[in-house]
Amino acid sequence: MSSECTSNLLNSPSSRQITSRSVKQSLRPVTIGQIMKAEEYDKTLLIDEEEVSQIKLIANVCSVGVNASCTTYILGDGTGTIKAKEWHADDESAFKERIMVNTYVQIFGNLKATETERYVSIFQTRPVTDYNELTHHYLEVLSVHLSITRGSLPPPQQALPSSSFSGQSETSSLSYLPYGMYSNNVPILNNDEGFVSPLHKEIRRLVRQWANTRNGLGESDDGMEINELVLRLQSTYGRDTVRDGVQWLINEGHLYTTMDEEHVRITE
Amino acid sequence: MDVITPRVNYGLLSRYKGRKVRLVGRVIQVHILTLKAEESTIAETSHTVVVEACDKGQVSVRLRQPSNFTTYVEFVGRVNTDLSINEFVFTNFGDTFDLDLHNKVVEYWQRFPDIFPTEELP
Repeated sequence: MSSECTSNLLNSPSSRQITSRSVKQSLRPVTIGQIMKAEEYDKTLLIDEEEVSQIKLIANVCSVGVNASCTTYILGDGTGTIKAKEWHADDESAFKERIMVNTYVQIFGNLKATETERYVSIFQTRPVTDYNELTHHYLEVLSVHLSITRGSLPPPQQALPSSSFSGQSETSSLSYLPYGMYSNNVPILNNDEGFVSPLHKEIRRLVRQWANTRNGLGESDDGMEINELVLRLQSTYGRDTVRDGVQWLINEGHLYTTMDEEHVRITE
Repeated sequence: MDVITPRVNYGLLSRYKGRKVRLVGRVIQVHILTLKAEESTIAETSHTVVVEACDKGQVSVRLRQPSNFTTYVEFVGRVNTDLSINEFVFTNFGDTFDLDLHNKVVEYWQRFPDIFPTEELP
């Protein structure tokens, strides 16, 4: 990620008021059509009258262009096309080659709106290998849209979580129920974090604490080193389990990598 | 511009004649015509594949060139008046894919234009 993105995340007023701006800070699954139709208000985009910044997208790669500082993708998902930029770390070129034209990718990123265009600033890309994910993504987008515009459905037999997705406001937690249900395959317990696994909770707690300490000292936060997490947690959980836990949280969008693959920050 | 390519099943093809669409199907038959060298000039539309769409209807797809397919394939192409499709690109979806669930997406595509626009923006 570029220093521009990093400083935006840290210094924007919204990230200092995470509790009050939780909706904006949540990770919303969207279609490209929704982005293109979104209303723009003071450089932020509104979908279903909610601010949207961090998004999750699954789309086909129409083209890939690489230059020294970033890779630019044109993505299409049938509802439109959009540009997405991924800023390079120093030695990322080998990693980039995984993304091929005319394959599907999952993108986590920040939505950007300028006067002339809308594009996605990518945190992470991942090739889609099971195409049921595509079906799931569209249904999840629809489910989130409906729960925002019409309220959520009454819970099915399974105990639906009344707690929020990572301790956020009720509105955003409702939007993410299907997401949480899907990724854990078990109902989320009504606890402080909305995470079942003590390891996942512990990792998130440490990463958040790391960022808070850094911010408190006025130092820049480049993300917490994964090795640091392993060191602190391996006595309880074992080295490989901790690494797997971190990877799971990254894959599910609860953490994202920053300056390289070894530093992570929490998705709030 | 063809930026918007609605996801369709067999039943929706008649609504999108002349338009570019996306169709996921299970490959049933592949007809690859092998022609002798002197005949190759007429090979233009000789390669077709028949797929079962997610609503069980069968669709004939004319290929640009012979290709290797997995069980499930997504085709992007233009709908002809005879409801066949002229392929532009395809993506292999592998050998496990839930077509019935995908049909739900196709149905919802027609009902929620805010999420799944089917007409190009002005």
